[in-house]
Amino acid sequence: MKIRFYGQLGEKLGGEIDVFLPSGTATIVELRKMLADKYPDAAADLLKKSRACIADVIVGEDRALADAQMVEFLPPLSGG
Amino acid sequence: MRCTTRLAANRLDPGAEFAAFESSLEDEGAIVTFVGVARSKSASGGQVSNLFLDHHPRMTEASLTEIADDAGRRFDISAIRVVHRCGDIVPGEAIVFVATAALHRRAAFEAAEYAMDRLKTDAVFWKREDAVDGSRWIEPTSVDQADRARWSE
Repeated sequence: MKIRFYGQLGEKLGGEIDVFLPSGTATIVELRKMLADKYPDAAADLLKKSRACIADVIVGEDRALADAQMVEFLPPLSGG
Repeated sequence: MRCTTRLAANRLDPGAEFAAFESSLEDEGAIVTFVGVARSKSASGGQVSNLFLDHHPRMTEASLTEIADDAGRRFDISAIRVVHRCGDIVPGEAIVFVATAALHRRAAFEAAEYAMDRLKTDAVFWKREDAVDGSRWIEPTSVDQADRARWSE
């Protein structure tokens, strides 16, 4: 699955990555935990500060990943 | 209501934007413009060398359009133009251009102020300031949040 990060998260982790979803990683909250384990330096931002987005729509923590092509993580907005 | 928004990856020329906006008008009696310019000093006083505005390939432009449309619904204006930079911006360059037009000045002033207050908090950007004392990612200030809250219904 493709994961895309923006802002400070993008700077820390690279803009876009490909990850293999292990069994037990089927929802947004599980994806957050998996990524936080993989990138401990960004764990706080991944777990608490960023919003998850699929197909340009902010999604909840229980949203299933099965039909998603990409998940994007949006840190708090800076505004213009 | 005529609404034009654009995300600009390259230099923004406020004069050219004003000329384009003015040429689209009919018989409005009031035009208000605002230009936001990148400052040369950070909040801590350090010299800023660059401002980087990260953006989303679709949601950023959609947020500009939503904000401009909301201004048009909320105030009695006939036209609005919002152009916002993204990418690398050096101090002195324009970051944002907002123009509104109305039959009378009050609506034009208020719509421009409303659009700017929304842009400062709700536009989909992530902003990094690179200064001599380091780089930092910026979030809206308490003043920005209070300015935005004035328009809450």
